[in-house]
Amino acid sequence: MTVSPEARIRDTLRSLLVQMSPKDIQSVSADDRLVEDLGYDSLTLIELAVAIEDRFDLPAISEEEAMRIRTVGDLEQFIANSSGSAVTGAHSE
Amino acid sequence: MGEESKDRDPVEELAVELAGADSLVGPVELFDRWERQSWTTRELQMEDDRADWEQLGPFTLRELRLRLYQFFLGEAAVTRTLPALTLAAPTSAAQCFLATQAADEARHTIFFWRYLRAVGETDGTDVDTLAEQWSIDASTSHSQFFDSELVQATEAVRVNPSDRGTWMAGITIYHLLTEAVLAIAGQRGIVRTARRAKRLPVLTRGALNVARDESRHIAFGVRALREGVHEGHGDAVAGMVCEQILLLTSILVSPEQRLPQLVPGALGPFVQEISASWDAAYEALAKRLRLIGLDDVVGDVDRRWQRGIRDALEDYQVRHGVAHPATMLRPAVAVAEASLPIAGGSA
Repeated sequence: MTVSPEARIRDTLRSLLVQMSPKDIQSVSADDRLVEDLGYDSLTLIELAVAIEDRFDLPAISEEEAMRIRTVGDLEQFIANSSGSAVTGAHSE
Repeated sequence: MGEESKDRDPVEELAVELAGADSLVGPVELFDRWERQSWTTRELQMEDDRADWEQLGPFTLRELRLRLYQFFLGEAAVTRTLPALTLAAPTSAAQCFLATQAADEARHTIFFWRYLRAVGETDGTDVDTLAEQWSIDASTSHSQFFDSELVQATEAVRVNPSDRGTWMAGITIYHLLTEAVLAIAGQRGIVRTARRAKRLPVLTRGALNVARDESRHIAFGVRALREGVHEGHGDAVAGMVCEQILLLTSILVSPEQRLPQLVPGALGPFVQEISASWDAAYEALAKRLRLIGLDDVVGDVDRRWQRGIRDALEDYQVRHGVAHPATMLRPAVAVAEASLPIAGGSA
């Protein structure tokens, strides 16, 4: 079965979010807020950001753009929209 | 284990360890302090940190790796270059103290090497091979400082051991710039990073032990330079400081290291902390310059320092295509730029 690039991004990202969340969670949904629902604090958000930037080939992002990212869906959208390279740069788990 | 307190916050403990750095005591007193404060790498159960190390997030891991390999390379370089300063020391007491320092530097090299092996960062690689492997990855400014500037300054002492001005310049780059500025900034970084991660007690203990040793080295250097300035070698000291500032600031800022961009809000406290660490490194330098009697060069050093930080931040922007997040925290950089050119400077 062929997995779409978007689905691959989503699966990879959600797996990272579950793995790195300070809370003991089994899954995440698009509406989950990183801080309020998933328990990310300053340090774990920075760790998550590095993990995402290492995993996906993301272009430079403005501070304004970055400040708008609050939920899992926002993150998925940003990575999917970023560039073609973001899609091809995603590694499957 | 010296004056440690197991319950004290490690950052406070570091400040206590460093308090002796400005005591202006002589080499014999520092020798006695060395005997009282001795420690061994073998007493640290480094393997106990391995589980913590393996659970570090990618950001903390990257930061600690950078600091530890910079320390390892730096310690290996100072171990190689100290003998020239020892042989040319003006008194037997100074030679005896510098001989203790040689033992310290060797212990630090072995400490970082053993620690990196214990947490699984390297395999059975020996010290020389590891230094060679990591030299390839060292930043240009780090390599230039430790492999070129420090080597040249100490080689000049070896070639002309009776020239006091050359020895003073060697002590300046070694004890003042390497130990009091770079090494102490590095120790603070290690201790704070480990505290932030709430992990790595053995690394923290080792870093505190290293800092205690360095406080003795700094004390020796400050006293020697103070005497040198009184003897008329102030220009040699000030000249060496001014020549090296751009490299020092570049090593501290590490523009090669890209910070994550996705979470600017979360990054704020971290960026404030690293920006404050650059200021603390400058304050450490300015304080020692005043102690040794070079108050009149502090203003010039300040301008060069701000210019160095600005250049390193610009270097970051060129490399990564985005401004370093600390840029906005440093409006003083623009002020310093307006006050250039610096009188009598070569940088």
